[in-house]
Amino acid sequence: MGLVGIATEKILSSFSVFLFLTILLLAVARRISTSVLLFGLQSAIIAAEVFATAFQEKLPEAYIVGALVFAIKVVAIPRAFFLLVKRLKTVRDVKASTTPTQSVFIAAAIIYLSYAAVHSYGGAVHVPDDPLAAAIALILTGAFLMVSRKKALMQMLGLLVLENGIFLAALITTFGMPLVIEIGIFFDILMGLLLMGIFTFRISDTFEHLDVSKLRKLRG
Amino acid sequence: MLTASTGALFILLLAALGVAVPLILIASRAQGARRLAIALILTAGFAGCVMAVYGFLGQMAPRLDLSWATPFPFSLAVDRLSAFFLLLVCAVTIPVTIFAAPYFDLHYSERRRNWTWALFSLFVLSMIVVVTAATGFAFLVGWELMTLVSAGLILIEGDSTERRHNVFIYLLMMHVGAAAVAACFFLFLPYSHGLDFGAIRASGAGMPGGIRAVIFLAAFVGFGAKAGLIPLHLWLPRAHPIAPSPVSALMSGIMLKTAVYGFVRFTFDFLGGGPWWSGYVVLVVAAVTGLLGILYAIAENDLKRLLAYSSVENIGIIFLGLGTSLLFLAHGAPLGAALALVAALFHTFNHALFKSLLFLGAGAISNSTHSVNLNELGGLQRRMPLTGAAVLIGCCSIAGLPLFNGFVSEWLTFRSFLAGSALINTKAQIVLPLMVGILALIGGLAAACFVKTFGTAFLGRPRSMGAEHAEEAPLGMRAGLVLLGAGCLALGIFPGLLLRPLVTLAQALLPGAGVPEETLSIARIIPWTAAIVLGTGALVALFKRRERLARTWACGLPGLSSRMEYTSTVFSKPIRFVFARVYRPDRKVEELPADQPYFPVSISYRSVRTTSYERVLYRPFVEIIISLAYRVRRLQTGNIQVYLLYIFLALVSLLTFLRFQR
Repeated sequence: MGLVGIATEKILSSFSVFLFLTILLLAVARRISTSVLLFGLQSAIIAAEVFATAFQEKLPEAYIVGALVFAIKVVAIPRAFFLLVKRLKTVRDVKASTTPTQSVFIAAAIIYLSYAAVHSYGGAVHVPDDPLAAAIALILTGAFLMVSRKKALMQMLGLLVLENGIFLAALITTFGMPLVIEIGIFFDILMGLLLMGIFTFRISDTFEHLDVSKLRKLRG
Repeated sequence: MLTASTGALFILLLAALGVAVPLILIASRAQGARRLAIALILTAGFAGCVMAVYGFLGQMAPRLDLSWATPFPFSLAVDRLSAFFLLLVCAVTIPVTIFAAPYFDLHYSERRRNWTWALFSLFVLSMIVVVTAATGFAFLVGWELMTLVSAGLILIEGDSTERRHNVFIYLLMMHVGAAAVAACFFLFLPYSHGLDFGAIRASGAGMPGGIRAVIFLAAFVGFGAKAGLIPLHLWLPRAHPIAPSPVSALMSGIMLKTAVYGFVRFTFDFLGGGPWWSGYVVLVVAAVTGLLGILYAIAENDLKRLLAYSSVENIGIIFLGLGTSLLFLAHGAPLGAALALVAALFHTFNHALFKSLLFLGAGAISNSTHSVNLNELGGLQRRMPLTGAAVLIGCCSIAGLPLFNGFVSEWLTFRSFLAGSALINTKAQIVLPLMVGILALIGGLAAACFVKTFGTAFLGRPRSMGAEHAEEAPLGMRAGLVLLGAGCLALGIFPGLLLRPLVTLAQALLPGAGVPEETLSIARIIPWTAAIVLGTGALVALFKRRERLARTWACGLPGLSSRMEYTSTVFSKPIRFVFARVYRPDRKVEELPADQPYFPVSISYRSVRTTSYERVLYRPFVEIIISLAYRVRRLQTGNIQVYLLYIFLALVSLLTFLRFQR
């Protein structure tokens, strides 16, 4: 047991709260770099949760998954984002279409809705309410970020937050997917990020802005 | 065991033909291959006839299960009802094929001809599949194939914008109809353990009344669209005239009948009679269809459009019989139901014969004169005597003259209406005798219509150069016409050939029905009548005094010209005048030159029917759909975030739904 065991218990009991915190903070974040930092923090919380589960359930594979989460989502992706922000020399603002106050209220509503949706299921699948609600809240928040932020970079970030949510939901309900699938998903994310990065470069090259709300010439 | 295997062999032969013919045609451009293909089609038709006759007489019930080769249960079987329609398909296919061989040769280039033949054989195959299908999927496959292949056959003749528009309307209405037909099948699923016809039939009785009513209505709409019941007939006068004549003959002669088959199969075989009101619904729609169909037919000057509208009318007569049968069934009088059903089915067969005969006749006329406009024809009897004789037989049959086949079926329909007076204390007692009047009116108008058709096309003097230089059709075309004409006469004089097995069929479909006395009596009387008429005719011919020939009095003018003749427009004028409320014509007289009203050089008269189902029934419907589409289009903003918002909202609303579900 010892120190590691205590840390594990603390993490497992409180990580949902931290995740809700990051959600609320993401809702009010005004700068892209802040949002990226918050995403990194969020991923770190999830990585910690993976390690804790691995320790508690004695799943050696899960350590690898945790390491992957840490390497990709905490280190690689935020770094790539910072690089992009630097290279694109774009405005730092996320260009939200809702005011921060509205965003907070919407984020709160999302959290409430997640609890409401989970409530009826908690008993049925023997999963604690809080982590599952956090996972669904993450998914919805990611979607909300994609909808309400006009910068193409923020759309990528929203997708990543959404993916965090899916990952967490899988982890909680089934103690993680098989390692191969997990690795495949990470590969997907990297490829998606690469593609979206290339596209954002192209968008900013061609249109000299990164505001997706102005890209409406393609409609039929 | 033996009979079953021969049956499977027969069906296999048919199926192999359907696949082989297009293969031969596409693989090889040689003349010999095409001849072989035509011979194969004829053989298949003949084999189908033989099999159908045996099946119809109840001597064997061939069955072919192809489920092992298809992803869904697919099997063909020939019971009595199928056999009757199989006989209809094959018996009409043979003469039409004989006719089509020289017709396609004369009208199409090498390449098109191959395609036409390939589609032609596929078309026949699809109709055979429809009438012999024993599972829902087989039926639907045949049904869709039939629509698509016939559309292809129409498009082969050309692809002008107007033609495409017409084909589009055809396909559109057929798909709506097919959706209704598919719905019929799937509505059975909760109660039946599969879409096998046997399973469906077994489940038919135990279904709740509401579902039965829905199935009946869906079948009526789905098959009604294919059959061309007004107001679902919109495609019919558009699609039939623009198809090549032999194809029109197949479409009008057989394809419409597959709809009758489907309707009989569903309402009589599967459901065992519809809800109590079903007979009334069918009767009213059929009466409207018959009356309006023949009224529109009379007003037409284009021979093929006229024939197409006349098909609408005949479908009306057939459904009058079916409606009467349903009515009798609902009132628990299977004997009357059997009589009406026999009448309807017999008329179905007769119409297949004489309508394909008339369409082939139109093909022969257009082949010789390059026109099917009645106002440009005339005097063809002297130039095309055999074609004329065959068309005359067709006209007499369709007008319902005694000794021709149309008479027998219409007579039986009349008798079934009159038998309705036996249904005491029901509305049917009043409704059915009323139908006598309507059918009489339809018959009279049909007679007028075909007097006009034959008179303006074949009698008098030619009204155009084309008609003046017309020559008799080639041998193959004449052979096809003569075969069909002989069929009309044979069934007209010996109706018992078909009536007796039809009565057995009706007894199989309607449990508890006896043998309707009327069918026996007419089958007994007609041959004797024919003998007396022929004998009297022969006697008169023998003892006739010599004819006196004299010139027609021309009111003192030096000679008669074709401009003095009754045209088709003029002939139908009185009827159009009497029924002006139906046509609501838009008349226009133009005199040229306009500044000299008393000395016109030319006067042209135009009268166009303005009753338009498009404007009244279809246009509002289409407009609603288009305006809805525009409204939906506003969702399509082109903004990524709005699209994401849709997904987000869908997600949120699903979660909310989940929350409040229990």
